[in-house]
Amino acid sequence: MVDWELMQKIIEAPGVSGHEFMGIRDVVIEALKDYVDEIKIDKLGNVIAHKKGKAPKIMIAAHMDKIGLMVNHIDKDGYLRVVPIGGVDPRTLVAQRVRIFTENGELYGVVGHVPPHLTKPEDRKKAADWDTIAIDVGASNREEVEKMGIKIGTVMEFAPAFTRLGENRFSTPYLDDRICLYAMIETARALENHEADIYFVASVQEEVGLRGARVASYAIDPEIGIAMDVTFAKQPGDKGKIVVELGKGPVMDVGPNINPKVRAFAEEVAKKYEIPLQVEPSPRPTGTDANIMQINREGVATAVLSIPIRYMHSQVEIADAKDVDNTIKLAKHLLEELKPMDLIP
Amino acid sequence: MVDYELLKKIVEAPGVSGYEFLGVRDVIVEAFKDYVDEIKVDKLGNIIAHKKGDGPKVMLAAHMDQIGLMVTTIEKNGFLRVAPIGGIDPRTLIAQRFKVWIGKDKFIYGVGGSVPPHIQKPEERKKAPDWDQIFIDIGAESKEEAEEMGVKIGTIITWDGRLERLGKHRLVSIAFDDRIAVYTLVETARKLQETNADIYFVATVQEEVGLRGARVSAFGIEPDYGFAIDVTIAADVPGTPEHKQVTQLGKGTAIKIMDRSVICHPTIVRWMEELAKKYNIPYQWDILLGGGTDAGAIHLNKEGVPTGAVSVPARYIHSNTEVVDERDVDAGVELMVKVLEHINELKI
Repeated sequence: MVDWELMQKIIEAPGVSGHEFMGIRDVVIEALKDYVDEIKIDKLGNVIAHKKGKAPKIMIAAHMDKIGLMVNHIDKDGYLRVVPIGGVDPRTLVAQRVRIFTENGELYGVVGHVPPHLTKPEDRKKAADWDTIAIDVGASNREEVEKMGIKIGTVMEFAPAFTRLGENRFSTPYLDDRICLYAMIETARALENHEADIYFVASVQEEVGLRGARVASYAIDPEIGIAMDVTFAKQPGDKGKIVVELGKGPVMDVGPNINPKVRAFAEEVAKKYEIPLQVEPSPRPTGTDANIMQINREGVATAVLSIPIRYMHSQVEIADAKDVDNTIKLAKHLLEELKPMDLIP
Repeated sequence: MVDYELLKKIVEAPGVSGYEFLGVRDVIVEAFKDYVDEIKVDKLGNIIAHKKGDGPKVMLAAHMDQIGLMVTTIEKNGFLRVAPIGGIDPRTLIAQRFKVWIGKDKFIYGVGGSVPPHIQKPEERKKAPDWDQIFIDIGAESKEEAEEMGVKIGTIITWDGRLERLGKHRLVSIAFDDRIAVYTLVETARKLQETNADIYFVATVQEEVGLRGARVSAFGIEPDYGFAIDVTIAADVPGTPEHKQVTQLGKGTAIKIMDRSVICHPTIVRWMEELAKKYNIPYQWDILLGGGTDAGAIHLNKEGVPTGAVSVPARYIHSNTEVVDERDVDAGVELMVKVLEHINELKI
């Protein structure tokens, strides 16, 4: 069904926003190069892989950057103070391992906490915030930290923790958005006859403001743009606000950010190939690359194709391999069946 | 005097942001077609009506989208849960009638239900409702029945609103934001006499969710000058001190100086004032700290566009009962006509 080895390699390759060159970029190029006609890297680091065809011109984007942390201070006692890159919730950091990318290579650190024995009952009710987060890399002072190759500006990620759960499910940090990046790459590899002129983009800096997709869509000037990104699946504590479920298939949004004709076409393709498809209401411009693609140049007919996950932006995001598989199938058939069409909503 | 029949069609047609195709787009295309040389609709749904000329290229924009609701869940007992498209205050939803749009120009009714005061505790009665308490009752007994009636996740809902006269000079309606400006746009095209300007009248989409239609249409048009027409706040109501009223009904069209999205080109602001004075068009100033307009997107297009804006003062905006004064509307049309007729005299 899915290629677990390639999937894990893509999920674990380093690449905090703006630092995609640290690992993931080469993995993407290596995985795509035999399956497309042309690959280039632009000045922001987007990987743009072109699979030539006639029309319509379509851009598929999955972002390859990850949320992470950046060192902004080193204590004299050797602790690292950090700031978030992208939407990191400090509550998820306590008692976790982090993977640090230094000038001398990779090493690990841990985020400590004050033991409950030493905290007052009222303090235990307080959530961790950035002031209480300190990274311990096993150094006893600043000089030692610096000798390890850690500086102001050094970036780090959640430590890898790929775990199979049950038959089809798995948990790991960075399903956002590496699981969709994996799905996009598998789509490109599986693609057979197509009329469409297809650009697969592994975009940079999505987590800090959809920046990679902005410049890539400007350069490509597509008629249709589809962002592949994760979305929220039902979970405890969601107050009934989430309608999408894990294992029930890929998800496509409806709302102002979505061209209704592209959405209807995708729905037809899903029906034809008996692929389950879930719907997600998006009353606002989505938090995906489709947001910026839609307002590129004179306007682009956009849609979002999502894999549902639980616990987004944590170290234990969960997805279902059936959904991944169905997403690849849907993307493949959609691209193969795509013909020039009327895109006026 | 406004053209009441035309205005009624323009304000009452549905067209929530991203869903302008549900009704209002056709009404506006129809209204423009005898007054321009060419009309096209782009991939986001903007209407671009072109009146050709060999003079300066001018873009006039008024947004045709309105705020509304989207169905996010259908509960098993048939109630609809909703989320806002654009800036909606949940307090404006209680005890209202709604139109639930199950197709193009096709709707069923719904009502905004709430818990009766009789069974609320005194402290609960003091709280404004928030989105968790809002639900729409369409008369369905079950989720299945709601679906049979044509409701889905993503279905669009608007207030059940209509245009009425209010007193001697005033009008009340749903969606004056920004259909009164779309009306102004159409009337400007209709009344225009001598001009060599190359004019693009644009009824934009998705203003209420981030000036998105104006951005892409400006990119395509690449105008020399941009003008946005929108409503502004008239808070000339009991309890608001004069310095916070922004504008007042019946005191003329409002020439925009700035809002949160744009600082209008000062030369254009002064020139519009001179035109208003020269032709005895009543005007007031618009300085709005909250809220933006399509001018915000237009003036940042490509290498920059000198941009101005006129506003129609409106009370109670973003509700089902927005109120404008038709003398202000007429003054706005008159000023925009003069702007286009004299555009060659504008020197930046």
